[in-house]
Amino acid sequence: MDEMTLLASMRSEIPFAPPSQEAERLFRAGQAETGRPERVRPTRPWISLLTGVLPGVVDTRGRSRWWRLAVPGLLAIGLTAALVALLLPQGAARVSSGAGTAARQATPDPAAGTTMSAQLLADIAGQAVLAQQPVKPEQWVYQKVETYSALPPNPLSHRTVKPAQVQNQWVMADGADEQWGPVNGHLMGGLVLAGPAAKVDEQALASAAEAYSKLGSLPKNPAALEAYFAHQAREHHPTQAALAENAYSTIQNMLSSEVLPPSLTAELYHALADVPGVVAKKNVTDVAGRPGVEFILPQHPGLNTNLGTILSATTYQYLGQVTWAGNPPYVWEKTAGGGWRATGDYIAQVLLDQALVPAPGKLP
Amino acid sequence: MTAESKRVDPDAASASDAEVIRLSLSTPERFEALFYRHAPHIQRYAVRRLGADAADDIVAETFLLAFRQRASYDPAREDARPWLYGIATNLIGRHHRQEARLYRALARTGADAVTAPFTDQSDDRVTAGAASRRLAAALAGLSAAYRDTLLLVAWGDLSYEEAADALGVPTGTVRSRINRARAALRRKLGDLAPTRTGEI
Repeated sequence: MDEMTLLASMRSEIPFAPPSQEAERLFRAGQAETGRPERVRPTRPWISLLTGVLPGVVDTRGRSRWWRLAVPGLLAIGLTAALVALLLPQGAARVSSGAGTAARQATPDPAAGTTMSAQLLADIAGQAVLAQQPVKPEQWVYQKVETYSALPPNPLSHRTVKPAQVQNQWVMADGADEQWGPVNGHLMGGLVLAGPAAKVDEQALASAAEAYSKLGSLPKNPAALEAYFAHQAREHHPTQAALAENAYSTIQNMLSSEVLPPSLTAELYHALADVPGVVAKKNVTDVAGRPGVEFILPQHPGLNTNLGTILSATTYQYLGQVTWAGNPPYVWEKTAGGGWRATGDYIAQVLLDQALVPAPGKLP
Repeated sequence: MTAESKRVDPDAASASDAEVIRLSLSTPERFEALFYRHAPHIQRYAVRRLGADAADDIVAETFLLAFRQRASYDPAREDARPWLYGIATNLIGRHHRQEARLYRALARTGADAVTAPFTDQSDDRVTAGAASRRLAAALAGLSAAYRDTLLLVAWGDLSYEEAADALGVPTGTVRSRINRARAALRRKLGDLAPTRTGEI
């Protein structure tokens, strides 16, 4: 017996068997996607995209703006907590196992799940959404969006994470109009004019229409789209990390903010998978407890948070997004004074409900 | 009749790989015959290198890429195995750190995470012998090119010529890589004569 026989012996411990059901399912799903005709250009306004990435174009999407304002604020709170924790005396107890586990029992661990190929996930998810019916441009769509922000649940109280903000919103599928309800019963930042279903101001819509006029030069395939998104970075000399983050965030924003036609959604999934550094996971759970799959742009020295986009594990429609820092995402530390302090960040936004409705203000 | 054989298109069962690929250009469903014919082999190869979970994706993606590239397949090559193993090996290459981690874990602990799902916990093979541990350490230390070449032959059952075809290198290169890789393994095994490792 020599080293080759020894190697053969190692392989003999793996049973020779038909391909697994999972491999077969993935192959069939991808094969069906491959057999479809070339993805077509979107036919609806990419208002959110353009307002988000074109220099000098003001973001007019109020329902996105409050979320964007919330993210840096909550990150700053978390960062402050982390800095304070770092400055604590060395004697402070760190309880990442017991208490950390308690925290993760209440909030899904965003780092969990099984790694899979991002390209394969894009193939499968793209095929699934292409089978869905597009929504008519003038159709009103009701959406219920919840934003969770952690600081994780206190390990002493064992309370579960509660939605930090809940908003009902109504959007016209082609992006021409939208109306918002109050956030947790309160109007946010003067973005809504009045009432539970107030209408966006005309000036904002005019800016969006101006952006729409620039759609003609957009690239037509996912790889070129990804490159286009990436190079909208506002820095003069953007790093590769900044380019990737810009592309990822722009695509994520479109998926979260728009009622997209299936063809465009599929195209964006492929563009997302093309973003350098993006990985994919299956068997994940969103903060509302729903099973999903996820595209992740991992945290690294050029990116201070992990960015996750979660799709339904069954329909592959957008479920939500999550931003977290640290690994594990957060831990609880016992302070010198006997109290508890959380470090790290965890912010999740989920699209909890979406339905076609006859008019703004109507619930499904 | 097994579940597997039920799926096989009888017309495709006797056709060569090249013929199946040619027919699949006009009838894409024909390509499935290639999947059922070779996926078990590719799966076993991928499981041994990366573990069962990752292997599912590798197998699916291998055949998807092959399906997409089938128009460029050289019909003079009757056997598609080198082509398929080449694709799979390229895909596995994306996970070379994960693969090296598995070998290092086996070398360090003696527990083979790859075979654990297939092995009775009471089976004493769960804990690998000293020779296997040294072999795993040697595999972790090989360059990706040497490891790919060696394992295509040892775990993919390819000849030197087929491995060269799979990797797109001359047969002489495969021969020299394997000679050097085997020498590295022998050095690592040292005085542990494989004939004494009856527990493997």
